[in-house]
Amino acid sequence: MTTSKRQWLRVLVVLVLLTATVPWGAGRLMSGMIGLLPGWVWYALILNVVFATGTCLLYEKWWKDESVEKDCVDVDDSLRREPDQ
Amino acid sequence: MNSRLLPAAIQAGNGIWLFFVIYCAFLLGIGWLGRRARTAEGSLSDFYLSARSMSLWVLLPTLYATQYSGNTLVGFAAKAYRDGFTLLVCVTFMMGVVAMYLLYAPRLFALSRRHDFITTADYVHWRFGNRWLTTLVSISGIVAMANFIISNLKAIGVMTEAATAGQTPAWVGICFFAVIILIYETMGGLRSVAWTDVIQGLVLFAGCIVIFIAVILQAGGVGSMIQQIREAAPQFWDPPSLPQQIEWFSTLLIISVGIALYPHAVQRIYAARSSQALKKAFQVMVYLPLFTTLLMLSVGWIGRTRFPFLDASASESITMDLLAAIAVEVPAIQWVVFLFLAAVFSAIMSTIDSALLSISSMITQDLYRPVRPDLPEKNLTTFGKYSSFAVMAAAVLFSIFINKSIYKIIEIKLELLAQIAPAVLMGLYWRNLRAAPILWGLVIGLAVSLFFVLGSMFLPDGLIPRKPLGIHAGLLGLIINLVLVLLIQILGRNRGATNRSGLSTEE
Repeated sequence: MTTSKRQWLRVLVVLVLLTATVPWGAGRLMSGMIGLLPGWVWYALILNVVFATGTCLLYEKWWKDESVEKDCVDVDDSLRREPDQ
Repeated sequence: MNSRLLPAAIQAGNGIWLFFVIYCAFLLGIGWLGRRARTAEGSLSDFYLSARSMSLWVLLPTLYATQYSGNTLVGFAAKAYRDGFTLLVCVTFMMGVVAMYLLYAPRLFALSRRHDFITTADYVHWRFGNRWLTTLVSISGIVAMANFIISNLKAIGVMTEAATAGQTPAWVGICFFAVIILIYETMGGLRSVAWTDVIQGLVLFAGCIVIFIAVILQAGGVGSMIQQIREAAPQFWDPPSLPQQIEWFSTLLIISVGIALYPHAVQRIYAARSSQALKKAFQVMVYLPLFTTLLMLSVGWIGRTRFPFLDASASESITMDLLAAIAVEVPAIQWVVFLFLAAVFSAIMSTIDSALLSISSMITQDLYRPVRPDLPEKNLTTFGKYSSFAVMAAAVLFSIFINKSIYKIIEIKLELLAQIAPAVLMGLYWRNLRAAPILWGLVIGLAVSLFFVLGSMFLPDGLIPRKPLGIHAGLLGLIINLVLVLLIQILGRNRGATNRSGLSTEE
């Protein structure tokens, strides 16, 4: 497994774990402290905020012009082919 | 939406047509400004991609206005009224769409700059070099977008009739707004469409916030509102069952994939001035469901406390019913009803104009240009404008005269678009991926999706399920599509049929 694939896998595992545990715990906490809504609704609400923030941070981390440009040169080179007949 | 509960101030039609005329004159003015701002007369890139010069301040509202349709204001609230808190999944899938963009937008944007792509199929053709595949991707996009236009034209007709208390028939509204959209779209192409989206996006966003605040204040605050919901609909507190949770994931996946591959969304990715503008637009976009979808869901939940016994059909007008009731109690905020109408019309029009421009680009660039490769771009752009007229005319006729049983077919949109995902996503990351697996995956994926969707519509009840195994037909099609791509690619490689580019056997 290449370093990049290992990195992807690690990020994925961390994301799944964070998504499953943090909003669930926070949801239970909110439900206990504030009440108003059932725990699973708090969980869904917090999950959405975590999901949005996680996605926003991933955009910052993964969308770097230099690396995307380099990827595209690689993809370009590897896919260069004769025109369609 | 019906007109039975529109407040008297609105029902009398006092000012509503004046509002329409001023609003549309404004849009036409913006369309004209878009025409004056042309940089390269007659070029496809200028007309369909605004010369690839969209800044963050145009990109963000146009992406927003395009992603949210009239359904956000009307349909989401109605579903929330019926299904309760389980509809929170709508917020997640609207965010999921933005997460999906992260998987392909950075690479596709960079490649589009190198190869001057105009449409999604342009990229697919560059990547796989197979004319059959390119055409099928394009036709899938055209059919899905045509369905969008017809359903939104239908909605604008119903809204016009409701807003004028039945004084204006639906077909007049359809024709009027279709002509307005056609004029400003053909004047300035994507530049005009995007600039009008800025206005429409702002109205939509402001509409959601103001409607939510008005409804919350009238309910006596958040705490009081939740208490009232609990009393009116205690079943909302029940957690979703396992089949509901499966449906959640199915909805999340099919909508995230399908909406992220809207052809007009891909066009906006190509049209961005820089990758930084695009990245920032998406980073803001990911939070907008909290200020749009979630607020409209709340309106549906609160509606349950005011009108607890509406059936499925009556609940479709829950937002308007609620606002009308509040306007009667507090006449000073009747303008909120106007704002709601403005937001709905804005959302619908921004969806139609984007879909129309997208169809025009696909017909011109993917279907007509390969037949007439020597035609100058100016002539192709003119052809594109004529195709817009033809498509709009056909869509108007369909939306006015379509048979009710055939009307169901126009619900098929995301099922088609989701099948394109392997071509776009896997093509960007899997260098040796050939055209044949993608083509076969797409054909079978489309066939499976359409079999279940059309079968459930037209065969006797229960013979073919709309959601096989509890998941959406489009998702099942996508899973089969992916499995086929993997199998055919791996089997083909084992037979040693591929070279490095993997394309020689396809040509």
